[in-house]
Amino acid sequence: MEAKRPLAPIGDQRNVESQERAWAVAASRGDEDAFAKLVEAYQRPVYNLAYRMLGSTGEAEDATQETFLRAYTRLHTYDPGRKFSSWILSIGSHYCIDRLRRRRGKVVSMEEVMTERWLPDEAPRPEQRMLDGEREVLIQAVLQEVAPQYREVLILRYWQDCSYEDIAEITDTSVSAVKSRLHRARNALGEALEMREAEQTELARQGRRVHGDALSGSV
Amino acid sequence: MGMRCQEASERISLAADKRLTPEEMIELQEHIESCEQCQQARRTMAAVDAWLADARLVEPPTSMTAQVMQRVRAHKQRRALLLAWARRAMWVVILAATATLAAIVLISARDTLGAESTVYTSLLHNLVALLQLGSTLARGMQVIASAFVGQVNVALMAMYATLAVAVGVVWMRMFARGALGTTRANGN
Repeated sequence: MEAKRPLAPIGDQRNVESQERAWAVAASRGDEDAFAKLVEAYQRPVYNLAYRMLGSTGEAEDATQETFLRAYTRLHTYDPGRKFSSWILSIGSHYCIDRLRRRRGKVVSMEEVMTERWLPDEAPRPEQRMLDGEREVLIQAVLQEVAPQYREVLILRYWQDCSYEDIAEITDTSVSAVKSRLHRARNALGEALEMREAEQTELARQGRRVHGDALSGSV
Repeated sequence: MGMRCQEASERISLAADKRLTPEEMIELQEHIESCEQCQQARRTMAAVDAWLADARLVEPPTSMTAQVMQRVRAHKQRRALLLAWARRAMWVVILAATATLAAIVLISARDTLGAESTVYTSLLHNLVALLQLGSTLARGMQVIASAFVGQVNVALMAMYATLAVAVGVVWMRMFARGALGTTRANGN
């Protein structure tokens, strides 16, 4: 894990954007190397969006690949007047929402739910072990408790540093809809946090009692 | 008493993103000072904002770009294969359509003129020659089409149009000779 840093490479933002537009135009004409450069530049934001939306690194990897593949097949629909970052994040977030919708339709066993909720990784690999910090587990668990459309705006606002205008473009809504959705999303997250806190204190209380019983038993 | 709590609650969220004008900010503060419920709401919002502000990015696997590009290439190959099949299917359709057209012309000519009619035999010869011409043209067009992959459809259309014109010319020659009319009269 790394501390947060700006998504775009350091340098003049406008230059970066025009460079990306040039890559996108070249890629839509069949230039594979230009597309690879776009993937290189945007794999990080797309992967992070998918990881927070879907909850596991395994699914995030798959979703990232799927997002870029979709982008590749739709390059002809990219409007060079728009920011490439908004375009690719829009494809990514739509894909994640679709995937979550499909998942909800599936019958999931209780065991799977527990694993989904508590383990950030379906198959923890050595190089990913650093993710398994307590704080990371907590963030993922709390985020998964918030409805997907709320989680989406929170991720875009806090993890992707998007403006309201960017979020509106990415999620296909108006700026005023973004305002109220972010407001509700924060409230929902506040409730989830409070609930967890209450659970924790309840758990601690029970733990103390059990501990106390054990002590009294040993006497 | 200006603001209702619902609006105050929304403004608290906007304030966290610095989306309020100074006047709106003052109005909000005035309301919060007079409203205990909104003071609690602001505390919760501050806690949520602080919790979220600690957002950290994770690193994607180093092989991500390579994996994506591998899938892109696989997709391209699949599409090329599909396109090749579609092209083949198009040729089959064109040949079938041409053969049907030729058969219709021949059969209707034989029925109206009789199998011994000179017009019918010359038509038969013409059509055989036309088919030979068609296959030569088609082969030529295939060479042109493979040279201009993007213009495959245009090349195919041009080929079919040439065939259609050739068939039309045969018909015109038949009508010019007045063959159809005179034989029908003779038959009666």
